[in-house]
Amino acid sequence: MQWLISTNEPEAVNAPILRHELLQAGIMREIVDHLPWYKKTRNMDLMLAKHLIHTIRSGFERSFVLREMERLDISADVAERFLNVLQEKGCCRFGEPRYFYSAVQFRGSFGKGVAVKGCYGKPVIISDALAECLRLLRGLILREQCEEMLAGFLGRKAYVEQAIQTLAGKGLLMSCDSAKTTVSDYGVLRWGVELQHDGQLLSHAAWEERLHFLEDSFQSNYFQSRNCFFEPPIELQGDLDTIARWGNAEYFWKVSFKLQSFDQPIPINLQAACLSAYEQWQELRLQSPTIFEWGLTLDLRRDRRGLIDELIAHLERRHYSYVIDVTLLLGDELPARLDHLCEFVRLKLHSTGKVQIPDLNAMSPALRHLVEQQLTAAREHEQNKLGHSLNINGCGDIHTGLLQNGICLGHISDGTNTIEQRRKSFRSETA
Amino acid sequence: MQIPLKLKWLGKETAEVCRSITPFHPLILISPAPQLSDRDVPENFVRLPHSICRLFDLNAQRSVQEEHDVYRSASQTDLRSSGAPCAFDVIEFKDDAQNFAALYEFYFEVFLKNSAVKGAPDAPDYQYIERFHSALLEHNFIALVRAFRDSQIVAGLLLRRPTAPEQFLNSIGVGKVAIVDVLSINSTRSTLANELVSRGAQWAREADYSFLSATPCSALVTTEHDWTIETASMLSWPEQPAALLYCDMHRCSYLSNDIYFYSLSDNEVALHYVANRRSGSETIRLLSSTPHIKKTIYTRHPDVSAALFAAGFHCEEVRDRCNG
Repeated sequence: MQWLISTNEPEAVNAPILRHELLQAGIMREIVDHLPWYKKTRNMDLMLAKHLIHTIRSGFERSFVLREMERLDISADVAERFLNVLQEKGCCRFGEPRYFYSAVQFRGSFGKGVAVKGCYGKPVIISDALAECLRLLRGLILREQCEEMLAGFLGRKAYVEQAIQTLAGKGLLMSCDSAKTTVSDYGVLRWGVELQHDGQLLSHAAWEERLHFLEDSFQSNYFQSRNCFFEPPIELQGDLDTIARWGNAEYFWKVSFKLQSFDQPIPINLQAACLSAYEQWQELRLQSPTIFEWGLTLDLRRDRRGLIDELIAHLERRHYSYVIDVTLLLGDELPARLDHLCEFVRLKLHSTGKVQIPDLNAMSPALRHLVEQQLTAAREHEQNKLGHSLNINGCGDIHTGLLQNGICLGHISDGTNTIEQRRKSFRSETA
Repeated sequence: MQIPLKLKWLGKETAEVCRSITPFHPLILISPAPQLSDRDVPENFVRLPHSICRLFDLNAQRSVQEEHDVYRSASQTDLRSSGAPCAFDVIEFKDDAQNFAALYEFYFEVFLKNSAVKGAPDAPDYQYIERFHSALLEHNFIALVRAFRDSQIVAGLLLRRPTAPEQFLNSIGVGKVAIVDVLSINSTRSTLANELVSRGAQWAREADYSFLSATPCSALVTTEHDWTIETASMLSWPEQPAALLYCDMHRCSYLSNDIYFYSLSDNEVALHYVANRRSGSETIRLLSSTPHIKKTIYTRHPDVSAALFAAGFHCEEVRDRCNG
């Protein structure tokens, strides 16, 4: 078996081989030029890259990578040729690293098998025997040790080889020399922009500075420069009381014109310490362009659980649309009445990792699903997401992280190249 | 027939604009519009869900004989209309070269040719091939039902899974949902559409799908009837910004096509139908396929009213607003 190893980061697992510089240099032409005539459309290279960046990564076995490429209607010979080109360019090589690595989530049993999802792949259904093998192989295990463990469970060496081959072919088993997190990525995926400064809304001049910076940032990105976004690229942030007091429909109309070139819905997330301005905000929301997707963030880290009761009271009056996004910043424990809140709003949960998750079986299915998807899964991948989301505050300073009090990387006047260098250093230091 | 006027909700001023143009347009659709409290809905406007889809329960109880009769009667009708029987096959979409080739054959030989001739306003916008490429690469397609005549593929039905925004469909209960993404036929008056959908429904039922859904579409329908299948159906609507509709029933009753829309009141959906065309069989079929919701039917044709009454549907009289 042959396992993909990144030349740039040989010690990392899941390091991208199709790095940003390679994509900008036009590596995808090595595939597109060999496709049928009707597939040589303007954005075919972008569409294929969007899918391939998730599978042409270190740690995966060659047969898995080739199979994933064939699932994209790339013929086997073109796929093989592409991998050879990547090797010739010195981007990667194939080998047999020391460790096997597995990090899967078990999604539940079905009549015909068990649903599992690898950290870097899609959900698949496997047999009970293979699922049991995966349970034995969690984390990083030396190759020889892994084979011994599987031999103890499966009995015969031939079965062990078959099991490893099958799991590798599905992308559920990887091989690497260490489980170090990769530093390479595809740039900032989301920019948070604070709407206010010194208690007032941003002026026209302040918006122009930010737009100039954001346009530069997007232009230098292979995907974003072609309007391909993996998540909403811009999120507006503010304080509920300030926005309700100073905001008006005309202001948000003008902001929508400034941001419409990004061709995406724009979330506006308002932090609320109390909800006295709730009705005023809903009126403003009704008159604003529908390009904005309004939501509230309730900070519950300092014991403000009364906020949930207050919000539920507003929602139960049903004066306005109850379908809004509500993000809860959690402290040490999950607050009460989340089940009830779930019935009215689209709930998102954020935690710094300290929240104690109670017994999942005691929760309603909807809440359990939320906790599993947003808290449990997020914990495991938080490291990978560092530096993917940056915030520009009212002064123009740029901070890391989704929550406040992240690391300051500089000011928008420093320019996109400088900020990007600092962001990469930040990722290297925290990896 | 296109909707005469469509506006976007720009704020409360939109209601003022609408009041000034209603004398000139019998149908005004404001979409998208936010969910409004009752006091904010402009006068004479009806609240519509932004888009709607019809869900057919594939596990509804039907006798084997009934099922057999549906296919036999549909085939006989097809003989009369086309003069030659159709053969059908179903390809379940797996990620291999053979399936991709079959899908592209359907795209070039059926979809592009048919849509170039007559167009399909509610169909996905696959005229530009790159959108079809993108949908293929997302692996959303489930199966392709093909109709052959004289060994030539003449029509096809493409089923897909719900996308992430359509995941609300999962909330309706137990079971998987298959959505009709593309229905492409080369004839407007053939029953081939219903035949294809019936075949697709049969396959979906055997593949453990519980519901078959039409693509979510505008809650206001002003064109020809879409397909139906002979099972109990229910309606569902996504939680998106709603729409508002101004509809002058009297003036709309003079249009050439039927118009129907699904209104939303207190979270309940109702069907309003303006029957303008003289042939009532398709109207009756559509009305029969929505047994679970309240229906209000309007027509100014006595013969249409009589036919619908005989089928068990009561029509409202359309009055001139000027004459009360």
